[in-house]
Order: sequence, then structure tokens, then C-alpha cells
Amino acid sequence: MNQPSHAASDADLVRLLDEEFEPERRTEVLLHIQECEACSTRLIALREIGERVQRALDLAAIDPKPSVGPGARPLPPVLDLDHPSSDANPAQPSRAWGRAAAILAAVAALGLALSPVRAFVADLMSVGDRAIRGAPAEPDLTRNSRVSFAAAGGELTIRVRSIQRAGSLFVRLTEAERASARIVSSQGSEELVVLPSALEIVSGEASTASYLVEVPRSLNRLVVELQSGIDTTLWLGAGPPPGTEYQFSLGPVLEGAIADER
Amino acid sequence: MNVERLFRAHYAELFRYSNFMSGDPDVAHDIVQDAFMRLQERPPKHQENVRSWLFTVATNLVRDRTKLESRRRALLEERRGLDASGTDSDPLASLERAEIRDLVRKALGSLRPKERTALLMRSHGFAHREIADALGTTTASVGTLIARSLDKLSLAMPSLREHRE
Ligand SMILES: [Zn+2]
Repeated sequence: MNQPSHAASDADLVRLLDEEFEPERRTEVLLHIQECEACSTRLIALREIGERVQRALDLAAIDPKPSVGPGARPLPPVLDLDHPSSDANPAQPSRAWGRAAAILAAVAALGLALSPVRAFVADLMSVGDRAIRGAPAEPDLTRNSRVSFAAAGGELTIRVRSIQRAGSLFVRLTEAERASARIVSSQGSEELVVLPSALEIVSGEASTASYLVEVPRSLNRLVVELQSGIDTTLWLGAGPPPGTEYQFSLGPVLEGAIADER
Repeated sequence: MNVERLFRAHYAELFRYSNFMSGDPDVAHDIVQDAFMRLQERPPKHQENVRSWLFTVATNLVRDRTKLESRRRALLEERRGLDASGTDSDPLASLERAEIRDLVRKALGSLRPKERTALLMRSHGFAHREIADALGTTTASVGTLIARSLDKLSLAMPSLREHRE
């Protein structure tokens, strides 16, 4: 199994980006990409086009007239914890902006083609391992800062101090009692500050950083606050399984969703 | 089934999807109305994924209106630069937005219907299985459709590289 497998097709690469693979096939494709310059370049290209297209779609979208329909205004998307996977899911952020994409964004931000690809692929592999074992693994990105802290009293507030242009916040539940946080992709001006019952993310104004915060499953309340005044409260209470992950798209607005863990 | 709750949850995104699919906001309004009407009258047997069901119905409704394809093309020209949303306070931003809309509409128009469906459903976060169901195709071919449409869009929207950066 040391030989790289046969070439990855475009369909394989899209499925990889979309986290559509079974763990075995995923590992197989990742092993190939790690060895193959053509495929890793193509992977990054597909992801980059996807991101660009998504941005264009977002900019080009027209809002519906609020008066149309069975007597109700459409509500803005909100995180609906009562119905985590039911038909009442709010508009989900594109999977192109999912976990893998956030990591790849770090690669793109560095403006390099191939050497960071290995780090990216290594991280994808660790995400895959996580899925297999159902437990979080340490990411091996070189550019990360990490802080640990106890989430006092079962409550935690994650506060983003300045308005971020873009980025993602991943909140993952673990069995551990301590919480930890790290910056997984950044332009260098971000800082994590631990306060009693709160974590402050101090970012530069034009920041597009992404963060990973791991919190104990025993936490019963989590608030995510943005400088722009938007906040979202998660009541965790009876504990979703470890590995459950919440993703928030940062920016002038905060959009949240529960990421599929498979 | 609480249709009103479902409507509130999915109306906006379904409209957005149908608008991109049809290229015509009026058609999109009709399609969304029809889809919810159908939900009320003939709800799906399996109700665990109504969202996916709604998108599939909307996809089919758009497909049923293939005659509108030519009208859509005509609209592309007609509406060039005319439909900037009234909510932009900065006229320059409005102009830029109108240009982007025009560009996006044309780019989407260059895709085959299946490619467009796959791409737009993906952008709404649907799994490949759900996209395949909506298209009546295999999961394996969804990735190919998406990659192909991304390549086409990349050619059609080169100038987007500069926007918003
Ligand atoms: Zn290869």
C-alpha cells in the first residue's frame, strides 16, 4: 500500500472537497494526492474556482419579495438547535465553505502552490482519522497558536472583538473537560485572549482568519458574539455526541450551522 | 406537517435557487409558490428531508419550463444592468452588483441544465446523494458534473477575480 494509487479523477477531487467519501476511499485518494503534483494542483484549482463562484452567487443573489407566499415573511437564517438535522434546517452555508475549504483557505492565503499542499493534505488526513475514530485529533498545521482554558460554570462566550471580513469559526464538542482554541488560518494579526467564561478573538479589521475551538461536551451554554452585535446562543445541555461540530461563517454577519460528522 | 414553518425556513433559499436556475425572478416566484402548493397538496411520503424534496420539485418545475429557456436568454440581454436591487445605497456598488448579476446569469446560462442544477444545489449545501436524486442520476456522476460546471464558470467569469478582493 505504499505505492500511490491510480490518478484521482475530477469527480474524486470534488467528492474529497465535499467530504463525500467513505473513510477508506478518502484515505486512498489523499495518499495519491500527496504524491501527485498534478492532482494536488487540480484540487486547489477546483476549490478556488468553487469559492470564487460561490462569492459571485452570493453577490448576485436577489432577495425575494417578502409579501409573497402563504402569509409569512421569510425569516433570516438562524441556528435552529431544536431541529439539528430535520426539515427545519436553515439555509446552510455552502459546503464549499466547509471545514476542508477553511483549511485550504490557509493554503490559498499563503499564495503558494505546492509545499503547503502537503500540510493541507496532512490536515485532511487528520480530519479523516477523526471521522474514523470519532475523536478529535491534533491538527499538525504549523501556523497555529493554541490556548487552553477551563470553561467555568458550564458556560462559555466566544467573542469576536473586531469585525472580521471573512473566515470560519468551528466549535467542536469533546469529552475533555478543558477547552482549547487555535487559529487555523490567519494573516498574522489575530490573537486569542482567555477570560473567565469567555474567549476573546481579537482580529485585525481586514481579517479573514479561521478558528477552531474545542469545548467540553458538558458545557450547557455557548454564546457566539460578533462585534457587529449579532450573537447566537447554543444550548448544549443534554450533550450532542463528541465530534459534533458547529460552524459559523464570520464576516459582518454571523451564520451558523451544524456540520455533518461522518 | 407545518407548511408555514417550512415556508419560513426555506422560502428565501428556494427562491434564490430558482432564480439562478430560471434566470427570471418572476418565474422563480411562481416556481416557489408552486412547490409549496404541491407540498401542501401532495406532501412527500418520506418527510425526513423536505428541504431536498422542495429543491427537487423546484428543479423539475424549472425543467418543465424549458420553453422559458429562450425567454430567459432574451431576458439576459433585456435586463442587462437594469435590475440592480433597490436596496444598495451606493450607486456605484449597485452598478457593480448589476454587472455581477449579469455576468453570473450569463455564466449560468452557459451551463447545461444538469450542470447548473448540480452546481447550484451544491452551493446550497446538498449532499451528492440528494443532488443525484434530484437529477435522476448516479452519485458518481455528480462530482463530474460539478467539476465541469466549475471549469465552464471559471472561463465565463474571469473578471470576478478582481471583485471583492
Ligand atoms: Zn494524480
